[in-house]
Amino acid sequence: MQRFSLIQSGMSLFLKTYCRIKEGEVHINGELFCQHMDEDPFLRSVYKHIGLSYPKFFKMDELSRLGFIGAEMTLMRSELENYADDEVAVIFSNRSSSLQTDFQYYDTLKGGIASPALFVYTLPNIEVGEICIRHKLYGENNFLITERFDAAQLLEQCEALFADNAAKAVLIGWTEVESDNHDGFFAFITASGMNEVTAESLTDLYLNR
Amino acid sequence: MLNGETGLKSVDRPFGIDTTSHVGLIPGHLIPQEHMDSLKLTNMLAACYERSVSKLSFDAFQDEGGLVIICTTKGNINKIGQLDDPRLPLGRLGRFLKQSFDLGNEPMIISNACISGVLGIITAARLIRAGKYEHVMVLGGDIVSEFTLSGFASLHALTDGVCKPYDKNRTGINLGEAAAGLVLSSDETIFKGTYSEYISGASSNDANHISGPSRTGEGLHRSIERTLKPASIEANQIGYLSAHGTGTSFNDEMESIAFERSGLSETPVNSMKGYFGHTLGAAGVIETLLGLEGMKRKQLVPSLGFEEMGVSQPMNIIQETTAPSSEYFLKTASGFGGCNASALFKVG
Repeated sequence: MQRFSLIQSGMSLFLKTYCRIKEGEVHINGELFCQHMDEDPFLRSVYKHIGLSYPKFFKMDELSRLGFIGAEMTLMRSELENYADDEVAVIFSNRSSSLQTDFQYYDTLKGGIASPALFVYTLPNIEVGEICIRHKLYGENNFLITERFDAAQLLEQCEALFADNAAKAVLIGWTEVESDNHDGFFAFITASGMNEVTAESLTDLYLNR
Repeated sequence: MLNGETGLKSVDRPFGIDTTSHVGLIPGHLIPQEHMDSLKLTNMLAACYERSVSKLSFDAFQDEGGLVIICTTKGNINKIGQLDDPRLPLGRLGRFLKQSFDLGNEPMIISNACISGVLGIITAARLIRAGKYEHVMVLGGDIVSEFTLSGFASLHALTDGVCKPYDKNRTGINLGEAAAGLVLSSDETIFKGTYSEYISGASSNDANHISGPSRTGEGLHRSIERTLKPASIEANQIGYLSAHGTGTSFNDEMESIAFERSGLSETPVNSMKGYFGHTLGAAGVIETLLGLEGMKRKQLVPSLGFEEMGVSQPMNIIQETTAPSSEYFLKTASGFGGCNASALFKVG
């Protein structure tokens, strides 16, 4: 059961930009941005398409790469320069934590030599750290585990942060990676703006790209 | 702890891992089994839920006004070797507690490395202040497993013996397992006994490195500033600081720099890691609880393992059981992913 608590309480929240990454496609604000066309793995192909030069990308695990690409797409269109470096919070969520990388690390352990490079990615919030490093964000962080994309819970976090004057904007994210399937949703939520958002409307955007 | 004894014990090749590090293990027979799912961590969390509720004048968590937050880094990670064990994903912990205790809401699960516990407390307080819930129970828990122990061994982060936070001869961390629960509420009548006041808290990212702390202590310093400023509390008013103090050279040095920048060099400070190790997702909850207890009893315990100053910036490290210098207590934590958090309490 989803709780749509925002409807009952007072604070309005606004959507600046959103990005959907799913089934080999990247959509920004509802419009197709790029498709998986070449031989490269999907996220590497998107990385090339954007024309980025950020070598750390290749050291990241798949979960961090998904978060990194989604954050890049969303933050580049969110007028980040209007905020101080600690006014933007990053609150992410998923179902499987870092389980895919956990299995990869565990395989190296059972193979005889545990990989420290993989072990450091066996925490879900590492992708939030990667995003903060990339965009020099010193604000609030959190990583929540939910069964499915839970717009109500994420917006509740935004509301609680705004009410406590702990942030002026929040990059929320859902990043789930299962073998070659990517399911990413990213949104830049603000306390003031034009495009009011509710748990229902955000869930619709997630479901309909 | 008052006797200055450690609960860390030498285990010969734990899980077959080649290490001489001491670990803090909870013997299975000490963990209540009424809510038997044969998993240590689930039973530890269930026991903490029940003990916490037993200290309240009413059970607030079976209706919509109450929320349980579970803070854990790895959950039941000891099940990773068993393919497709449905108990492995973290979300299952929440479902199990909801079913076992007929909770009014699905528990929230926070997995944010070693600040999970402190972040759980801050998140709980913010949700209450925003009017979302009246009562929030924060449960923190993690176990010592082959998975985490081998990982820290691969990073060469484990000490050979018992950790020595802030000491010149420190060589690394010990892992410990623990679960702990605390309740925050907007309604003081829920508490049967004494209680303390949560004042403020904040988290901040270093934006520097995913597995190494900032050399300037940036995130920790900022989280402390953003905790004290809204409360209009000056650093010199803090009577006790419970630090993260893992006993690695990088963490402890980073903390000394961040504390100096924050004006906390003279504040009585300890690390509890020498008593029961680094308990990961539980650390912020159990160390906050023990810090509050020390404040109430006016007995702040020594920072076990500390002998000779081993960090570059001055710190007032507690070496003999001492009384706090004021009623304000600050808890801090730092973790992988560059995350830092701090929370401020008033006791008495």
